[in-house]
Parts: sequence; C-alpha cells; structure tokens
Amino acid sequence: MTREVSPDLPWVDPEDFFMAQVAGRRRSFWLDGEGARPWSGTRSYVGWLEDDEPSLTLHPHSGVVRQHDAWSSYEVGSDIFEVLGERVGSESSAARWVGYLGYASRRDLPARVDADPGAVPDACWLRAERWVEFDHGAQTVRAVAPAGDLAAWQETVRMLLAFSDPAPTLVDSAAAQHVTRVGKDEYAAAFSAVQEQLRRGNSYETTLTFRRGVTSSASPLDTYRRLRRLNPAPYAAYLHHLGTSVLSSSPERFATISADGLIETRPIKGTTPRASDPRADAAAADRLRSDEKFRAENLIIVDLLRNDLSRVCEVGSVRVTDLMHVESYPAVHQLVSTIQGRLRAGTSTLEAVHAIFPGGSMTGAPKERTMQIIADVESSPRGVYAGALGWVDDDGSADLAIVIRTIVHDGATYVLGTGGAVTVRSDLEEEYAETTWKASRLLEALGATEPSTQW
Amino acid sequence: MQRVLVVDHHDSYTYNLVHLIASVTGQLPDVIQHDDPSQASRWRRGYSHLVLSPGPGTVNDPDDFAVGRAVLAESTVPVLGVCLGMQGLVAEFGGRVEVVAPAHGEVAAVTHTATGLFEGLPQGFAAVRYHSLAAVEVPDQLEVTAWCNGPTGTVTMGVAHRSRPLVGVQFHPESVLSVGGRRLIENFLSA
Repeated sequence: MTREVSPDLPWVDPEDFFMAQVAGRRRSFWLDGEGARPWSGTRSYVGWLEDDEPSLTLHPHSGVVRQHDAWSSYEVGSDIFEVLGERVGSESSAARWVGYLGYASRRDLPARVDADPGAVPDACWLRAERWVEFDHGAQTVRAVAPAGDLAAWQETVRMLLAFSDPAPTLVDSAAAQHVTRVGKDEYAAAFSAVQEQLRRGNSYETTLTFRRGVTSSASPLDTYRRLRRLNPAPYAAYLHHLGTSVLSSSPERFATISADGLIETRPIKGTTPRASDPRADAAAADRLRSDEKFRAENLIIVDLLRNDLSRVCEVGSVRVTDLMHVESYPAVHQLVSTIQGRLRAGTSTLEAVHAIFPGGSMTGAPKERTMQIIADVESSPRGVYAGALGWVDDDGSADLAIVIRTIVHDGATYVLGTGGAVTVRSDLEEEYAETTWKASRLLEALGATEPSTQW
Repeated sequence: MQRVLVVDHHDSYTYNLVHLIASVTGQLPDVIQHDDPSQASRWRRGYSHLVLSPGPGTVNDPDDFAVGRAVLAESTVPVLGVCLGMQGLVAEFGGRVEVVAPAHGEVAAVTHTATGLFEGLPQGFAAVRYHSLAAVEVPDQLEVTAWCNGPTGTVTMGVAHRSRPLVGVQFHPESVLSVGGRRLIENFLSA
C-alpha cells in the first residue's frame, strides 16, 4: 500500500495545533522540526493514535514486550527489535512507527534495568497511519494518510487546523525541586573507578552518566514548550504514551537509513561551554577543534561506529565523510563526525539498528566491556536516556536520534540524564562541570536551579 | 586462495580489521569469538592466515585471551596479532606485558625495520594507538620490528618471530587515522 500526501494546507504553527488538537490524547507525538540544522529535516511530524490503533512497550523489569490499544494490552514477545522488526514493513501498509528504544533495549548486552514495576517503559513505539506534516521552511502543512484514506483525513486536518487558536501564553515555571541527584563525591568515586578500568586496559573511553530527578507542578507539555524555546535542537521531540512523556532537545543523530539502504550516523564526542563574549566563545570552539583530548575522544568513537556499521555494511562502503567538525548549540559547542555505509543486501532496518545499538557515543569503547563497567559504576539505570528516539517507516527508511538533553516524565517526577566521555586525559572537575553545562537548559525549562558546582 | 580467520576478543574495532582484510582478499574473513568453546579448534581447519584481534583486558588472563595462546604455540600458517594479539605473541614467548602510560586514541609516528609487515611503508608513518598495556620486555625469539616514542622512552609497535611466521603490531592499522594499513595487510597476506 502506498502513502498519499495532501496539497498544501494553510500554515498553522505546530505548537498551536498541538495544544489545541493533540494535547490530552492518550498516545501522541510531535517530532519537532523548528530547531532544524542544514543536515536535518526542517519538518515537524504531528500525530496521535485512535483508540484501536496499536503501540508497543518493553517493560524494564520483566523484559516483556506488550502490544497496546488505548485501554488494554497483551504480551507479544520479549525482544523489542524482533517484535518491531516483524511489524515494520510486514503488513501491506504505509505506516510510520514513532517511538524510542531505551539504553537497555538489547537484553543480550550488560545494562541495568529499573526494578520498579511502575517504571517508564524501556521502549515504546506508536504505529501511525495518518499524521500531519509541517514544513517550517516553506510554512506549509500537509496531511499524510494511506492511499484511499487521504480525502477524509485531509478534511479532518483542514478542520482541526482551522480551529487551532494560538496556544495559551507560557507562564514562568513554578520553582521545581531536585529530589535525587548524584553528588560530587559519588561522581568522583565513579570517575576514579572508570580511570582504574582505563589504566587496566578494559576500556579506552567510558561514557559516564547519571540521572537527576526533579519534581515540578508544571505539565510535561508546558515544560516541553519551554525547552524548545530554551534549547532548539534538530532532534527536538515530544512523545506521550499512556502517562509517560519524553521531552527531547537532542542534537545528535543516531542513524538515518534510506529505503535503498544508505545508513548514516553522526556521533558527538567532545564538548566545551559557550561563552557570552564572542572572542572567548570562538576560543572555546577552537580549543574543541584542536585539543588532543577532544580529538582522541572523538576518534575512539569514530572507529567504534565504523566497526558497528561494518557489521552490517558492504565491504568498502563504510566511509567517514566528515571528521571532527564543530557544531554550536545554545549552551555548548560540540565536536561531530559523520560516518556512512551501504547496508548489505538482505539486511533489514531493524537488524541494522540492532547491530549498532546502543549508540557508541553513549557507551565508549570497546562497547561490550565498557557497558559492563557502566553497569557496575553508575548508580541508577539509564532508562530512556542514551537510547534512540525517532521513526521507522514501513519502506525501511528511518531517522533516529540519540536520547540526550532529554527529560522523561513518568506521570509524577521528571528525570534527566547527563554525563560525558571519560578518558585517561579527562579532568574530574572539568567532567563534572560538563555535565552541568549539558543539563543547564533542561533544568531551566523545569525551573530548577543547579546547586553550586564548586568542589 | 587466501582463507583468513579472525579471532575476535569482543572488541569494537574488529570489524574495521575484517573489512580491511576483505578489501585485500575480495571476500569477508571468517570471524570467531576467542572464548567460544564450540569454535576452539576452528583455526586448525585449513585457513591460510590467522588474525588475533585487539581487545580489552590482558593476555595474562585466559578470560580475556583464550584460544590465542594455542594458536601462537602451534600454528604453522602465518599469524598476525593486533594490539592485544601482539601482546599475546610477546607473552607466549616469555616476554613481559605490563601497564604503561596509556595512549588511547593517540596518533604515533612509527619507525620500523622496513621488513616483513613494514615493507614499503614510509618511516614515521602515522598510526593510531589504543592501549594502556605494552610489551616492556621482548623475548629473544622475537625481533622488534617497529617502535615509537612514549613519555618514558621507546614503545614497541611491532614484533616478528625470528623463525616462525608470527608477527604483531601494537597500533591499530584499521583506524581511520592510521596510514598504510592496507599495505601492511597486503604484506601479511603475501607471507
């Protein structure tokens, strides 16, 4: 079955549309194109599921994959890659799966999972057949639906757009409270344990992270509206599924896969803070570009991603098309590389995603041993954080972000992960400070303040 | 016809090496895990060349370096050890492998004897290092064929057995920033 796209409909800001027509639905998404970069799409995709449409979750503690409608669910398997892989492209449909794979989604690799039976799903995917595309560049809106359904959907969307009044003005967030965070002493102990593993040859680089819990009376959607203003990002997204909300401002591409099998990954490794003085700001970017510590951090991950792509790509097709390029975001400068390959014939999109998951920039290298180190030294499960978020289409194409600069709401508490790569050249104070630069815009969106970072 | 077997030590650079080898031979080498008991005698089955991959840990721990010892002790076909694999070669013949000043993701300038693996490679070629253990004592049966400067003196970057077809490199010829990796693999595969 093919997909059809409507002619251009009159422009309505997707935020207004989402607030007026989508907020409050039990399962919905907004892949937000407002903060696009030249290399990312400039489109927003907004959609929701009707009550009888399916979604999938992976329960952290039991490892059970369940299929849901709006009000009930049943067990369908234990491997989210397999379950999703069976559904993507297997039906005669033109659907798009939108969702995330949490860090521990591959149960064959060492990763801590949340023991709390009520924890946020380790993976969650919504199967959308109809959605609305907003082109932020051209300022056009289009309705997308399976062939044959478009006429009705287009009329529905036209009506919904017409009744989308401007969203209510955002008020400042009420003061929020940290309920859990990793103190400097605890971070220092984990940092030192990692250093010992690096010296003993068990890892060349380890991405050491931790979680903060924040309580706030602000709604997840209002918090997301603040986040997208404070930290525009190419992989910004709001995903809501049965009480769980994921608020992303990720700048990092995990993988894009085209229907004809071109795969691209864009790992970020190396971070310096922005400065308000332009000269100091340019110096920070220059340091990122030239400092051996940052270059080594990035190189280790580039070689790791080449390796992971080589597991599923044609010999000779894996190429580094951009090595160590500085990209600047509101709070930080980042060092980014791009690696591409051509999938071997017969390799499905989910097989490819499985082979390279979780993203090497969130593990360090070598991946397997380093994931064991992470499971040993990090005091909390990573959950959604450090996984992948985006969409996979029935034709095999996909666009997935690394889940960083992301807030997760479980219905009661906000949790955000932050961290950075630790190598033998890393400095404890600088690494700890880096975790606070990376979290700063997220905490601001929540109205939480960062306690002093002095030692 | 070259038939190559790569012994993987659960590393994250092995498939870069696999593709580098395939780019020379025209076909993907076979890959086994070093600690897979069902594959422990696979290397005896008619391969023309064996490769011991990089990997975490130490060759002194059988959990980190399992089948490699037997390969190095008994193989009659050429063996190339990379990083951990080279350290295994050094340890097998009585040398010492110990923790040194770490070099993770550093680009070294490698000087060499211009023989064997290094034939045709320029002096001082760039090679990426990912290691914190190194051969601090190389036994008499092995010749040091390549080296670079470290913070406390010379670091062994290549060794070759004096009478058997066993060679090793400490650096990573498969890294994106290493020069001459393809030539090095061609040299190994023509042995």
